[in-house]
Amino acid sequence: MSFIGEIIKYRSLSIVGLEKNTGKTECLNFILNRLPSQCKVAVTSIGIDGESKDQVTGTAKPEIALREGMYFSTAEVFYRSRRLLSELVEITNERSSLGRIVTAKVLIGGKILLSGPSSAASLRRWVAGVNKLNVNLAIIDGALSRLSSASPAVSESLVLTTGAAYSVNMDRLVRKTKFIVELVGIEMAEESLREIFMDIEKGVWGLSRQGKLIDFKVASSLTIDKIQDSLTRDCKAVFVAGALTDRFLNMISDSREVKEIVLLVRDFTKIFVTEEAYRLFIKRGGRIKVLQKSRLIAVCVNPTSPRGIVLDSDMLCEKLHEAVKVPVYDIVKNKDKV
Amino acid sequence: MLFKSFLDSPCGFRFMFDSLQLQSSCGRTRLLETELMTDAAKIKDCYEKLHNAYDSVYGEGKNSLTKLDTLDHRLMCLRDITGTLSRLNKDVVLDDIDLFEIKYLGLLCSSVTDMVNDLGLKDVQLPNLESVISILDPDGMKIESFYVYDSYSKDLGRIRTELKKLQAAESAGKNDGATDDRIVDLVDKEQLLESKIREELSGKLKRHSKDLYAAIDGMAALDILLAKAQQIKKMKMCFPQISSDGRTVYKGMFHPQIVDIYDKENITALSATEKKKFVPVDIDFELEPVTIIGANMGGKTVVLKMTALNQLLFQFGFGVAAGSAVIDIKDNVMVCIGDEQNELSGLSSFAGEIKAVNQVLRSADAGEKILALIDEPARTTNPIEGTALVTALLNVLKGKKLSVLLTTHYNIAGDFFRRLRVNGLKQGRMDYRLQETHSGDIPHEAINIAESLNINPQWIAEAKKELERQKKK
Repeated sequence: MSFIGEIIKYRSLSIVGLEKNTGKTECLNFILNRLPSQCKVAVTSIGIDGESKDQVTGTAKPEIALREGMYFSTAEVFYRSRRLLSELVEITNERSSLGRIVTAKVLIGGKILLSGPSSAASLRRWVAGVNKLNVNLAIIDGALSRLSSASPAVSESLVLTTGAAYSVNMDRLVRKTKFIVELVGIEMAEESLREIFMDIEKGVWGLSRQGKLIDFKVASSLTIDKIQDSLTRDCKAVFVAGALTDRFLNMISDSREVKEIVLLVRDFTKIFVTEEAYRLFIKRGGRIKVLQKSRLIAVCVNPTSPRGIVLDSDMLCEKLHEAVKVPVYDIVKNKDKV
Repeated sequence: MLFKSFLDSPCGFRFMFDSLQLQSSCGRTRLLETELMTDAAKIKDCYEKLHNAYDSVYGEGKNSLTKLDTLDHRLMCLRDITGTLSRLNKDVVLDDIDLFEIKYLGLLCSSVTDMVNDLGLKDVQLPNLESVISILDPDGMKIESFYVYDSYSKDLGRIRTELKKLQAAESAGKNDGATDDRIVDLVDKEQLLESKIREELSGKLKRHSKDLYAAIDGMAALDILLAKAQQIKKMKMCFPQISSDGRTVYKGMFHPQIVDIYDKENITALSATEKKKFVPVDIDFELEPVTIIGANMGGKTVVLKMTALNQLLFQFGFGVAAGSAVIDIKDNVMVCIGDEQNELSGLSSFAGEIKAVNQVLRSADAGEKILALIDEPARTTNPIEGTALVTALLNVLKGKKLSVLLTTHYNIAGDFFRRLRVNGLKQGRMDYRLQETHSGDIPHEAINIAESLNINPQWIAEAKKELERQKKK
């Protein structure tokens, strides 16, 4: 199955770069260009709170080229400075620091700066909103600092971009990328567990060996010390509704019952642990599962770092593919092979 | 006095505002900025409209709930675009977003008008914005979207077609070198033309700006009207009558907030006897001071709160929380309930309270016709001076043209004012109803009531002994 063929199987897609300059915009433009014309698409970019310039490198935020018939959502300010002809179809109730978010349909193609909703909840509303416009595919240009856009609660599928900007040491780059891919690929919990925990929005909860649901009455896994004993002694499953931290993970890794407990998180975007802590947990026989899983379609690589170092594209793709077991593309070099 | 200035009145006015199901922020803003009505004709007109609306929507044989839902949903889409309209009035050329907003308002107003007619809401006046819609919808599509349509100018359509052709040729790789220049040229022409059209559209729309303002205001007013009607239905309120002789009469008065609290508690009640029920109260008064005496926990303060609340509801044209009501119009409602202590402004509880009551006297002296509700004045000082202060206050109030309800635990002698008394404990149950009485004797039930609250028995026993000792003296 081709890259594009795989993408159009889903109703929503997030593109997330593991670092700046890993070719995220390139990747987005590539996808937009290759989508079959009968596929109705809507696109937005996660709001970057008022920056129209990349704060790190000082380069201007890239404009996205859109074709006739595509829908897009962006802030009022950017809509006013659009360089395409479009029909305004909705002024949403979402607000950003650049004003309200508007949705429009392209009539004559051109370029536009996108800055849409920024929270996971507002992105979810956006996806639902554009689906009402009979859009087949909603694409979110995500940001690593707001990984929540890649949450399966927001979008069904995911493309990661990585590259020399993330690390110029190829082995390091492969290892770091592999870790993220591994988190995305964490197995989904059994339906019985999903049913129990799906609607719980905060706190740390356990399921006792007798099948009883226990609320540990802590706000997050940050204030966990008090419950350590009863948590590891009595539970066969523990659900962390908020962020999963190193401290929490280590607590379970260090307990004698590490093998007896299934650790549950909503989805991979809630995991904020270091690779070391994660590896230790797995090595000691720990098991972790998610309630919702998104489909990683591919990893796209940009072998050029902003400082000019260029890695061997073919070798990188090959090594990475071997490590992550999903398709890996260098869409700039291999435009026609993808 | 504006609606918003009464929100923090201790009578529970905010609860009424919060439970009002307004759909639009325009409705909310409009209501908050509403002036207290003191004109009988205005109040009469307001209730006539409200009554008609209520009958059209909830009247017998009406099955309008689905239609009402749709209308509510439409009103939810009402946006405050007065900023855009004021720019329009200042001859600013509007951009696509502004024009979209105006077209959206026009289409909304037209669909709301249809629904209003369908529901038979005959008093609702909304402007006809068909001409506005036709300006912004030259193709008559009636779709909520906008761009500078091709049909605004022959040239525009032609330029755009050509532009599309060139772009298609370019992306197919047929660039003969001059294509880029040609595209730039066309884009330039197209944009100039668009600007010119926007300028014309803005000019045309300016002539309708009065109607556009009226549409926002009219829909906001409709939102308020429907929310009031819904509140009357939900809280089982009544349409009051305007008193012509200065007398105010309530039958079966209640406090919606307390009823609401009871209803919530009753959900978890195990048996029928455990369920709490609000006992409605009858009360009437003229331009005179009236004292309310009675046992602790007899609901005296609640009577004051209900009276204040209903007076406000009446003069803002809401349903009134009673079985029936005839109400006299006042210039202002003053509520002195609760601890007026404010350490921040350096007032003790006594000083705060006395100052608040003084404000009532000051307004009365200024010739204002007010309703004042005063809860246990001078209660924070010794009973001897307290009694003197309250007796004197009643004397001073007697001669003034104002209605005052005043609760007290002091024995006030004399018969120069009316007294109402809470029926009090009857067979272990509190009877909250009021009765006319001529004796100033205040009930001695405090210890019994305290006892019924499971208070430390030693304390209660000591208190009883002490009471016996005093009687012997």
